[in-house]
Amino acid sequence: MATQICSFPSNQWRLSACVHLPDGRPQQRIGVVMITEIAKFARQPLCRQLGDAFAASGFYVLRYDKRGTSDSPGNCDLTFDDRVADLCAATRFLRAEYNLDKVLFWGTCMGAAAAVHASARLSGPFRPDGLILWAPLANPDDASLPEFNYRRVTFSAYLRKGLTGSLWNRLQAFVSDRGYRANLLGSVVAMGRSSFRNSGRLERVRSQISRVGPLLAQYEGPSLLIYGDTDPFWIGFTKRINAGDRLGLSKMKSPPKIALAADADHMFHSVQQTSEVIRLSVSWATAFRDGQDVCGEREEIRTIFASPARGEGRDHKEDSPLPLGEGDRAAVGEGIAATAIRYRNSERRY
Amino acid sequence: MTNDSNNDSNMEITYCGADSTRMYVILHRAAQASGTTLVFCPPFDQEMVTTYPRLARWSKQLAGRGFSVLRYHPLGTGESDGTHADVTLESLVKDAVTAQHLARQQLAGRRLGYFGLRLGATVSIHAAAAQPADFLALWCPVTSLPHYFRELLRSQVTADAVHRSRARSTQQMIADLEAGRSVDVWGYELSPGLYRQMKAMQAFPDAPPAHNVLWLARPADEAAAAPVVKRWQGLGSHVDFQVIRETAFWEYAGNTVPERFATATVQWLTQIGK
Repeated sequence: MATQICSFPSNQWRLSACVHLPDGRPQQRIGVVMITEIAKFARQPLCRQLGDAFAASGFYVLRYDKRGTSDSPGNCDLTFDDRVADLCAATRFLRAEYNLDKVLFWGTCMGAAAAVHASARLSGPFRPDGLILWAPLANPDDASLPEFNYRRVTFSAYLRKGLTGSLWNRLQAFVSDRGYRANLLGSVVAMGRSSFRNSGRLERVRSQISRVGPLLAQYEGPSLLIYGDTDPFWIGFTKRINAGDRLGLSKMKSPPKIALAADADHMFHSVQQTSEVIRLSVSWATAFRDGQDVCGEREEIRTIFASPARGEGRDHKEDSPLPLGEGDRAAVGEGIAATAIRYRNSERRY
Repeated sequence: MTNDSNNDSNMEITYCGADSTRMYVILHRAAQASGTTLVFCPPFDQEMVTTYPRLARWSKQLAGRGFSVLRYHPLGTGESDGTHADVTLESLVKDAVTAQHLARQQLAGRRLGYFGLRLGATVSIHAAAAQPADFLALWCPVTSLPHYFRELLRSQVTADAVHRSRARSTQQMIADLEAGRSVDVWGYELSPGLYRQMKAMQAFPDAPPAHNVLWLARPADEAAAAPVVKRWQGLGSHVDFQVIRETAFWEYAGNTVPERFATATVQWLTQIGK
């Protein structure tokens, strides 16, 4: 697969990028703009492999470093608006430079949040034709900044994350693992620093993140949401952001397809899990290109988000979703063939 | 807050090498050259990702202060060709030597040396032993390769226990490696070849790898480093050993330059350049 190094402007900045080119000349010229939270190769080797996999299926793919970070010239303390502006610039560049018919966004975490904002900001031919969002950051409590080492900076967010493993396992790790203890201490320090050294940047980014859910609900094109089933972001999304489908995802013009990967947390730290992200992303994009129905089913979305939000009725006895059974995992394995999640007997939980 | 979009007119990104073995290289040419060039040897795996924005930022700052810098991604990592299963200690050392050749061609200066962090520092020591360099600036080199490798496996076991149902023990992963099977650690495929070399190689050669060495360590590594420093000094090398009380910044993503490490290094580079 051919990969080219290139650069493009975004306001007064120049952004370093690379483009994966498809083999041959695809009939439909469709591009994918990828946005991650650290460097353009972050979550290596996933991002490069995903770029190659999209290109092998006939897509043009752009990965870039945000302004003044990593391999882009200059040094910049990024704001959330900078991220959105850079993604808009990347979209214009890819679409114009390669004379594309359509563009999809692929974003993860904070990058996925920026993708949702950019989809609302861009208009006309530059508006993305579809979104692939991996663990989008939609809960403002989970927002953090590089100066806090991207740690959770609110006690509630830390506590919620802490509930994803059993108390006994965490206790064992605390006793036996120096790294785990250091991590815990680091989180406490980050929470303290965010309280005393808050310059308003954190509030601004939180405010932007709080708009991700509503903006996603307004998006008219098709979208794919991918989460790990033990990801605290997924738990936050189901229990807080879209509890009871308050955003109205099931009523969208094109309801999102949702895929849950079994036993995966926020980072998808295994070759098998990252391969699954690649497979889901490329098969969804290919189905989109081929004119298949890539939308989610409204009834299933209503079922997934059926539980009420915290404080709106019932007590929650546990914070994480039930583990998926074998049959459910097979459904996840089918990926886009059906809306992937099956919460087993979710009414049984309360 | 530091926002500066105009200090990198002399930054260049390129691939070096033949098709399918292309190495991704970033050159930072100093505007007013001090005559000193550094080749950055990155740390390993996830530490390479978490420290990338910090070290990229620092390399731009160094170029602004007159030090040219070459950064590279070892084959099988980052943007370079190859797969992670191909990565061994030998390949990492070979790539560091290749990077030194490139730096001599592209960024010629009076003095050329390596900067390395963690496993990158250890790799730079072996690269300098293979192809002499004028100096080494080492940040927290790995002092025991078998211990480091075992810690990589242990961190995965801990994460498995906390977050997931998959149950593996360090011993099981080592048994897989001994049997010639790769293991998956944090999404990286670690090969039996890498394991064998980590197990067999000494972190530090007996002979000093360069005439001038800056060795910055955290307090936890002081005891392990002291005998090596003493031995190298006894053999005539100028080893400046300093203990820096700073957090293990490579464990967390962030974009701030570790100031104490950076300040000590710039002072030392300036001093040896006089």
